[in-house]
Formats: sequence, C-alpha cells, structure tokens
Amino acid sequence: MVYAGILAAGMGVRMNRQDMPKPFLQLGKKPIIIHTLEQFFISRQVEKIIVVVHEFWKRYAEDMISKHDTMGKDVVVIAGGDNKTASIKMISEHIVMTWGIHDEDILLAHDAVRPFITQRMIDENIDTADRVGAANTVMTTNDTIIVTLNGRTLAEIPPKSTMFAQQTPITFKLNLLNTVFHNISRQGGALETETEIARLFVQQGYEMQLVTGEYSNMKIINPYDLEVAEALLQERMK
Amino acid sequence: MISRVYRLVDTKRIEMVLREVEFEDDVVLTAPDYLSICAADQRYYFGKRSREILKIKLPMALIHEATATVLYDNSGRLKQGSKAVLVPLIEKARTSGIKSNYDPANPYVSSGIDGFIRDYVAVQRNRLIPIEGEYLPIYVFSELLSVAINALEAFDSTRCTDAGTVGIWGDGNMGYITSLALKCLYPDVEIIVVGKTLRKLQRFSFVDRTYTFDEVPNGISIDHAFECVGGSSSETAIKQIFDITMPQGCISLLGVSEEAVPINTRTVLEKGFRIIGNNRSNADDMKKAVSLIRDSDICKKYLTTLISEIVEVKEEKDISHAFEQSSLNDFKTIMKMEI
Repeated sequence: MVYAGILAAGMGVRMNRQDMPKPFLQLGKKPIIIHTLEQFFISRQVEKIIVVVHEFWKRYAEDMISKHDTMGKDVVVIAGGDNKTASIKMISEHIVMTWGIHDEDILLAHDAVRPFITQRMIDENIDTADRVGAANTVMTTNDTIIVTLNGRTLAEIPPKSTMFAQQTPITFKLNLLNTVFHNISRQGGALETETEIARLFVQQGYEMQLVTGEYSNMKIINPYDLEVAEALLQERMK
Repeated sequence: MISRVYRLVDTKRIEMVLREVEFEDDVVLTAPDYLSICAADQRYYFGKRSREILKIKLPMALIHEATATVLYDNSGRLKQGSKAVLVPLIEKARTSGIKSNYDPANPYVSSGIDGFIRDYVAVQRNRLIPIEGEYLPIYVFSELLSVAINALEAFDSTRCTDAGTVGIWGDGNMGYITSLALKCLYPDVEIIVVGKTLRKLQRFSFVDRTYTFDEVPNGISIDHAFECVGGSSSETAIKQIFDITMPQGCISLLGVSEEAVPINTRTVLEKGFRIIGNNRSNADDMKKAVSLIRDSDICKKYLTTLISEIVEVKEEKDISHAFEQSSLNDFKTIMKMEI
C-alpha cells in the first residue's frame, strides 16, 4: 500500500497570519491544501491519504476537505506533532494502528504548502523508495550556500555541486521508517528537537536516494511566496 | 487542480505556465500520453506563420493530435486508467446546414486556444473517444485520419463519375494517411501517389503506383485527385492535377498554404471540375477514424510505419527537442509524455 502523509500542522507564523494556518489560505480559487491534495487524489499509486494538522484545526480541516471532491480516495485527518519529524511519526503510528504494516508499504510525506508538486515527482519518489528504501526530493540551488558558525562571519563555502535544496516529498519504506523511530526511542533520543527526519535516517546508516524536484515546487511560507504563487497562476498580460 | 501548460511564447521558445483546471460535472480529467506533431504545429514553432498571426495567437500550447489516460470521471462512466483519444474541436455552436468543423464559432485547440501539451487536460466527456487493446500509440493519428475521412466523405458525396483511379499529390503525412484511408475504405480503387522525394514515396508500399512529380508518364489520366501538398508547391501540384484529371473529376484540397495559390480557372470551367476544400474534423469523424484503426488490420499495420520517431518528454527542453527532430524526420514525430 502507498500512503501519502500531508504535513499541515504548522501554524503559519511566518505568514504573519496567525489566525489561519497557511495551508488553509486561498490560492487562486481553492485553499492551498486542496490544490496539494488534488495531486494525490489523482495519483495512480497513492491509495490512502493522511493529513496531519494542528489539533485546534482538525475539525476545520475535515470540514474543508469534505466540501471538495476527493475523487474516491480515503482521506483521514489527524492531529500532528510539534515538528515535521514528530508529525511523520504520528502518521506512521496511525497507519500501523489502523491498517497494520506490510513489507511493501510506502509513505510519502509532503508539505501541504507545496501545491505545485507533479505526478512525475510522486511516481519517482515511490519507485525510488520501493527500490532503495527511501527517497528525498531535491533541487540544485541557484544561490551559493555559505557556512557560518556564528551567524556573523563566513566559515566556508562548500562546492556548489555538493549543495542541493531539500523539497518534499520525502519517501520511505514504512518498516524502515519505523525501525528508525524505534532505534531513536531505544537510544533515548528526542524527536522534539530534530526537525529533519532525513538526517535521522542517514545517521542510522540507511540509504536515501535523491529525486529531482522542480523550482516551481515552491514552499509557500511567507506573504511574498503567496504573491509569487498567485502570480504564477495568473494570465500574463500580452 | 493545478496544471502545467507548455506554451509556445515565441519562435522556438516554449515556457511552462501554471493554470488552475476547473472540472465540472460533465468534465473528465485526463493526462495526455502520446502527442503527435503536425505541420500546423511546426509552422507555429518555427515561426512560419505571418508575424500578425503569431502576435494574435501566441502564447499558446501546441498540439491537437493526442491520446490520454483518464484520471478522474466523477460520473464513473470512464474508469481511472482507461485510455481515450482527445477531440480537438470544441462544439460551442450547431448551425443548421454547416458541419461543425467548418463553423467559425467552434474553436479548435492549438489554433487560437491552448492545445494538448499540458500535464492535465480537462475535457467534456463527449470530447473523449475510448480506445483499448494493442497498438495504443497509433491512435494518436486518429485526428489526422479523421481529416482524411472527412475529405473522403465529402469527395464521395460530390463526385459524379466512377472512382476507378485516384491520384494523391503529396508524400508527407497527409498524403500518406489519405492514401491509407482510401486503401481501407475503397479497396477496389487504384491509387497513384505523386510526390517530391523518392525516399518518402517508398514508404507508400500499399498503393498501386508512385511517381515523383517530374516523372509522371505522359498520357496518364486519373478520375479524381487529392491535393495534400500545401505551401508554395501547391501551385505546381494543382496545375499537374488539372492536366491529368479526367473531365468532371472531383479535386479535394487538403494542403495548407500561407499564401494565396493561383489556379487556372479556365481549366476548371472547361473540364467541369468539382473542387472541395477540406479542413479539420469533428467528433463524429474522429469516432469513424478510431473504429477504422480498431477494426482494420491494414490500417493498424500501416499506421505504425508512419511513425518516424517517438521522443520521451520528461522535462520542458524535451518538447523543443521533439520539434527540432520533427523537422528532420520524414514522417511523424510523437511525444511520449512522462513529464
């Protein structure tokens, strides 16, 4: 079974709109999260979708999704954790409790605020995770990345060819993901401080292969991003 | 639903734009699988239309020959994953006495409105013709074949003499598919094809005779003719057709020319020719084309040899590559959409 976990638990602090988490803001004619979900609704490989939201917004999310055509896909809304890693763990636990776990199970985790995802990215993530265990969507960076150790002075400029920007989906074989979470809890590690699940995964020696994303697979996290996303959907003046 | 539309913005320049796709009750969401590049697309891509036309029509997504996979039909009538041919004509109006593909009120995609180079296409259910079985990529020629069928039907209802020998001018895709439609629908007719390039004429293995235009034997005559040349060579082709077509023959014009083509009206009058213009097709023509491909082994087999190259499209630049290849290939260049 292929599951999609849609990460929508952020409260939109950077959007300066704290009355409304950013996935629920309008983009064009629909909320951002609906645009994102529609790409998973039509996926030929994704069978079930779990949307993780802040607990205060669970009913709202359920209401909103129920007002749109889910194209026959099962969609469940659950309350999420404090960060991306914790939310993915909650999705994983929900799957195991509800449907059990099987060797072939795959989980794609995708930011709700990346509505411009494509079927190619979804398919390549699933195929790659199925083959090697995990996949991470990335893009080359246009900007040169610098390293600073103190936030004031430059320490290093890594070669550009080694630098990529992480996007989502990030995809795992579910049993490997569960093993990673199990190992962390056995070693007394805390998920609350680790926002990057990919780091935990490779730290434990598992392979994660890269899938090429797209520059348009942008994350809408601040008002500028929303304006850019709106502009992308508008007809250009002749 | 957010869709990626790949628009020609200027000569040889394709850019992706994001658009919201609306799908209402009678609309089916599809993803194009195979797209076939036609001469009209090439004229836009390589800037061979007039500057005024390009200014009016661009930016615009090209391609009107396509097959697709059904992603979602909320009526449940078309199953997810089933395959279909997309109909480019949008029938907004039905004017009594006018066939819908000639009604100026009915737009045709990739001619003023976006064509099928997109990741999702939402179409009215009546603009999808289901297909199944083997040879699915060749159904991408349904539109081109339907134009030939449209022309053959017009020819059949107009001609007043027997169709013993029919000449087809043009060794390109339109000439090939018109010859093939004639072969399938009128198996007793003798087919002669006249073209420019011997190499291309050799591909017409199913017709009775082929000639390069400068080697047409003296004294040869035909009952009717189809002109599938287009462009500046139309004039020479039509002159030759007038010379060797028997009196009261029917002459069908299918070749598109950017410039006006002079014809000898005296010959038309003297020989009592009937000249028919043919352009585009409607959903009914396309259903006939799909049936012909499905039911005729000859049609299926000879359509496979119409394919010069299949280009896999995984990113934007592959679309430009496909168009560049199309200018080098003798026959059809198809894009397999994996974008």
